[in-house]
Parts: sequence; structure tokens; C-alpha cells
Amino acid sequence: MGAFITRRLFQAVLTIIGVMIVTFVLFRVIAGDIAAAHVGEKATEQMKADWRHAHGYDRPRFLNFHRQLLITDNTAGQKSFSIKDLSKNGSIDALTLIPSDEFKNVRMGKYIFRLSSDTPIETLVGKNRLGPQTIMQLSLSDGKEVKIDLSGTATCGEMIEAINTAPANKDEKTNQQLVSAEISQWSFAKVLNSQFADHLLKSATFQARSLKDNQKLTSVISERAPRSLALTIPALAVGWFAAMIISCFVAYYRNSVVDKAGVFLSVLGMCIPFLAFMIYGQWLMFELFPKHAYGLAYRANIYVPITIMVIAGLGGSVRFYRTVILDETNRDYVRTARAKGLPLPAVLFKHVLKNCMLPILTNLILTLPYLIMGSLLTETYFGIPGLGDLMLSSINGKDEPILSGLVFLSSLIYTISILVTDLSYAVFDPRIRLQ
Amino acid sequence: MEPESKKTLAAESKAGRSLWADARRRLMRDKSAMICFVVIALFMLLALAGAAWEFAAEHCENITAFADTADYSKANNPPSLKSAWDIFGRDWSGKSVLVKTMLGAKVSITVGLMANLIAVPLGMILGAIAAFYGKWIDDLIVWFYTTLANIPGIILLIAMKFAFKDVTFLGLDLSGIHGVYLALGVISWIGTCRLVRAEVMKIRELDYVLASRGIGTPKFVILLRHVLPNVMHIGIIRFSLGFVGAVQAEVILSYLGLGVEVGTPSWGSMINAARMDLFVGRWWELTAAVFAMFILVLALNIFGDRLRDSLDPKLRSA
Repeated sequence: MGAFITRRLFQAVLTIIGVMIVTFVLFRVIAGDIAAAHVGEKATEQMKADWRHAHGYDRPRFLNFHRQLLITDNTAGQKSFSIKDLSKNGSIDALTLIPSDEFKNVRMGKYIFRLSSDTPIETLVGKNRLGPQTIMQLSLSDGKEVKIDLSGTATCGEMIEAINTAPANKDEKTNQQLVSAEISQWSFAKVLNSQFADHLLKSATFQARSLKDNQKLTSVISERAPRSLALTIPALAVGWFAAMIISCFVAYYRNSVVDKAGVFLSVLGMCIPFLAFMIYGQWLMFELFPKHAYGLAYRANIYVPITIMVIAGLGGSVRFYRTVILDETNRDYVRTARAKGLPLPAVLFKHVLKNCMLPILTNLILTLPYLIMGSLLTETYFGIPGLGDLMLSSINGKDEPILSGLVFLSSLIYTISILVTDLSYAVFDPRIRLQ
Repeated sequence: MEPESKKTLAAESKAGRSLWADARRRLMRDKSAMICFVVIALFMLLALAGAAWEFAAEHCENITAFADTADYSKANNPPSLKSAWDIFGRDWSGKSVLVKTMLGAKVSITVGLMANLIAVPLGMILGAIAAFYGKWIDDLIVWFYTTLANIPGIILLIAMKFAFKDVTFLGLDLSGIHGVYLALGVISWIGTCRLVRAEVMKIRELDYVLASRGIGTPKFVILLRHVLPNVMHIGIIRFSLGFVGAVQAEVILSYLGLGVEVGTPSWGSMINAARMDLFVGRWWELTAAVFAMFILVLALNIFGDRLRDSLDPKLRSA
């Protein structure tokens, strides 16, 4: 028993890590650059780069072995050190110049993966070698301005050499370099300063923040979850009871007209698209109570979506529960009980139903994650600002942290529900423990 | 099972038919299965006709494409018997709803086919490899599909469509319908993989496989020649059942604006476009799309069930 629980817990942890990897691969590796969606399509490369840097999207994906191109200001002045792009083609602009903490350094291409002097400039700029008239203007901290021509350089080494040996880059009196360029060393402490490590940490602790309004994921969830639950808990409870009653009824009259009609109707119900239930249901409500169509004052606005969810789910669950109950009625103990003279209702509702509870409860537990997210379509259609609605709006707004947080949350609930089911099986059903 | 069918079963097994011939025989006798098959075949013909029309409109000058059939003088005309094209009425731009629904069948059928062409072979191959080679390969594949299975389906589907925006893969633009194929393929191989894995686990220990190993046949050859043919029926069953899921998922994705490209006639985009129409009394576009989808899904559901029963009654479980 102990070994079973340990093994099962270990599996659950592995699965949760797997979910984190899947969300990372989907949203950070496949999805591509989302900077344009947040700073605007027409923003300059510099603005996009700033945005990426502010939100950590410019870090290396898995492990951070980066070295940076550093430009150090050797004049000890009071003003801030800055670099301007005088080129016609905006290629220095694209080098993502990021002022460092002290004003003496300017890092170029902050998180360049394994930068060496042979690294082609394309990896920094995303274009070919720097074109003609690529002129970088450095405003030094003592007020001097140095213009350095970088045109024609193709690798980092060449660029460093161009900066260090430029005629303008020399103090007239002391003959020393005004600015010096070099490649920094990487430090072991920064290895985990990567997107993946950040993603794992933020997923596990739910510390993600919205890219839109910087709201915390946890506060968004706690604000919106009650609205989703107000919709799904009644729908699930009523739906489950209705399905149980109907399927018991149908199973009781098995192989009769009632049974056949029930099965036929439930297959029909399964085949009608959920969207149709919603659209026609809302229209029907509008026809019956035209005044109640808008506003929170009328309770019909929550009853209608719930009713629609119950009816739409009924077909599938009646069919499933009927199969489960009928499988059980073919067992030997049912025949024995009948032979003893027990009336059919007593056998069905006392013995059979008890034995059916295991698969039925499993089925119920597996719908738990849909408590939170499952009403996605209903919420968007009826304009209920719950979690499903949040998910779709964060897709349209490319709000990646919220989206991956929600996906992770629903998978987490799902994994835990399955874990609880399996463990309770092991507790209540000795046959499973033996495997 | 009733005693009558038991008798016929016994008679059939005496004749010594193959599994496939036996299954075909059982299906042919089943009237409702045959009706459903005809319905599905009709939808496929419609889909083919739609594809042929689009192909012809692209290559011939005197054939107008569907997008160019807009006639604003007929906008929102209700259904009438004036001409064949008016039976289901006209949409907001005066295009025939009947033709739109038929072209929607093309999208649905293609999605069903493509998604399953990705999912079923993937599930079968991975399931067979996992069970047959065992050890860490098995652990890895099981871990992978448990992970995917633990993300609720619709959420994974939507997340994948989000990720596929502006992504091209093998020269195909994944933000549109190609992304739907791939996303559906990626989420629906799991069930096939599980079933095939369980079945291959059993087959692996059977005498004929052991004998084949004993005479030194390479593992890979055993897998291809002896194991895979014996799980083929699972693939076919999953294909027919997966079709329904794919058709339904496409409609939901297109409704959410994550499916087909804007302007492509599909049932989901028709439902999306016409969802407010009911309130002004224009019921025909919505009803046509819902009805077409209902008929196809019903036929596929019943046919899938019957196919499963005739190929492998053991799989019949809840």
C-alpha cells in the first residue's frame, strides 16, 4: 500500500513537470515573438527589445551560458553614458543596447548565447553584416562625443576591434582609449537565469503576472473563479442527479420501449452540437421572457446557461451510466438475489447501484477540472466574466503568463483528481492494491 | 446478445472467414449501419464536389469561385423554392446557404480525415513501440501521453492554436486550418496509443510471437509482420470514432475564431456569423449548419459504434 502510494505520487509529480514542459514548449518555443502584440506592430526594434528585456523574453531558453559584448567608458565624468545610432539602416538600434547599472558599461545584445569573437553579427542583429555608414555615436560621461564607424564588420571580434582601434577613440593628451569593448565572462551564478527556469518557478508558485495590467495571476483567479463556479457547480450537480435518475429509470425498463427511446434520445442529444443548444436556448428564453434578456436583476440570466449545460451534457452521461448499470446487472450476484425472491427495484437500487458507484464516481471526479474551465464556451457566449472567458481573452491579447498559468492550473487540478481517485480505489478496493 | 445472433455467429465461424470478411458481413447485414454509411459517403461526395469546384474556379476563368457569388440584391432572402440555390435561403451577402453548407462539409470532412491520418498512425506506432520494446522507451512514451492527457482536451487544443499563430511548418501556415489538423492530431493519438499498447502487451507473449523470436527474426520485423497487423482493427475503429471528435472540435474552434481562415465557409464560422441572426428572425443559415453537422455526427457515431461492435466486441465498454 505504501509502495503504491509512493509510486503514484512520484508519477503525479513527473506528470506535473511534464505539463510545465509542454506549456513552456507551446508558449515560449513554438509561439514565437509576442513583443509586437504588446508594444504595437509599428514599434521600433529598440522598443520591442526593451519590452522583451523588461519581461525576460530575451533570456536564453534553457540554460544561460551567455557572455555579453561590453562597452566600458574609461573617462570618469558625471554625466550618463549613452549610445546613439546614426546609421541609416537602423542596424545598431537592433543590437539591443541596454545600459547597465553603472553608467560606465553598455551591454550589447544582453542575452547572447555563447558569444565569442567569431559570433557573426547576424545573431545579434538578425540581419546580415553591418552595412555602409553604420555609425555609432557614444556620448561619454565627461561630455565628449565619439563617432565610430562600424560598417563592414561581420563578427563580434571585428566589431570589438573596430571600436578599440577607431581613430576617434583616443584621448588627445594621454593617448589612451576613451571606451573599450570586450566580451564579458559568464558566471556560474547566472546559469539558471533562463526562460525555462523562470517558467518553472512561476508556474509552481503561481507568481505569474499579466502582461497587460501587471495583475497577479492569483488575484485574477480569485476574482473570477467564483463566477465560473456559480455556473458550473449547479450545472454539474443537477446534471449528475438528472443523469443518474434517468439512467436508473432506463436501466430498470431495459429492453423495453422506454429503454430504446431513452437510448435513442441520448444519442440524439450527444449529436446536437453544444453551440446549437446555447444559441437556440438563448433565443427561446428571449422569445418567452423578452424583458429578462439583459442585466443581473433577472435570475433567468444564470438559470438559462445552467439549464443549457445540464441538458447538453445529459445525452452522453445517460448513455454512459446506463452501460455501467447494465454491465453490473448481468453479474451473478444479481441473478442470485433475484432467485432468492428479491424484487427488481430492491436489487437495482440497493445492490447494483452501490457497485456501480466506483466507475460513476470516477467519471464525476474526472469532470472536476471542467468545473473551473469547462464552461469556456458558455462563458464566452453568455458574456460571463469567469475563468474560461479570461482564457480566451488572454489568447486574443497574447497574455502568455496568464494563459500558461491557467493551463497549468487546470492540468494540476486534473492530475490531483486522478491521483485522489486512484488512491481511494486502492483504499476501498483491495483488488487494485495487489497489482 | 440474443440467441438468434449467437446461432448465426456459430455458423459464420464454421465457414472460416477472415476477421475482415466477417466484419464486413456483419456490417452489411446491419441496416442502420448501412444507412449511416450511405449518409457519410454522401457527405464525402459533397466534400469532393466542393473541392473540385474550388480547384476548377482557381484554374478556369469562366467558373466563378464561391467568394465571388455575392449578390447583395438577394441578401438575407429567406428559404424559397424559386431555385435550387434558394432552398436554404441566402446569407448576409446574398450567397446561397445551401452551397455554403456543402462547402462546410468539405472543411469538416477534411479535418476529420487529416486529424486522424496524423493521430491514428502516430498512436499505433508509438503504442506498439512502447509495449514491444518496453523498459525506458515504454516509460518515456507513457509519461508523454499521460502528460498530454492530463491537460484538459479543449484547453490543450486552444493553447496549441494560440501557439501556432504565425508559425509555418514544412511550408504550411499553421495559423489556419493546417494548424487545426495538427493540433487535433496531437491531442487525439493518446487514446489509440493506450489501446494499442495494452493489446500489444498481450500479443507480445503469444506463442506465434515467441516462436518467431525463437527462430531469430529481428524484433523490428516481428513488430511489422506479426504484431501490427493484429492491432490494425483498433486503428480502424479509432479512426471512425475519432472522426466525430475532429468534426465537433473544428466547429468549436472555428466558432471561437481559432479555426479556418476568415472567409472560408465552414459550419463553425457559419454558426459564429449567424449566432445573433435568430433574434431578427433569420434562422436559416444557423439551422442549415447545425442540421448538417447533426446529421453527419449522428451517422458517424452510429456507424463508428457498429464498426467497433463488428470488428472487436471486446472493446465495447463505457
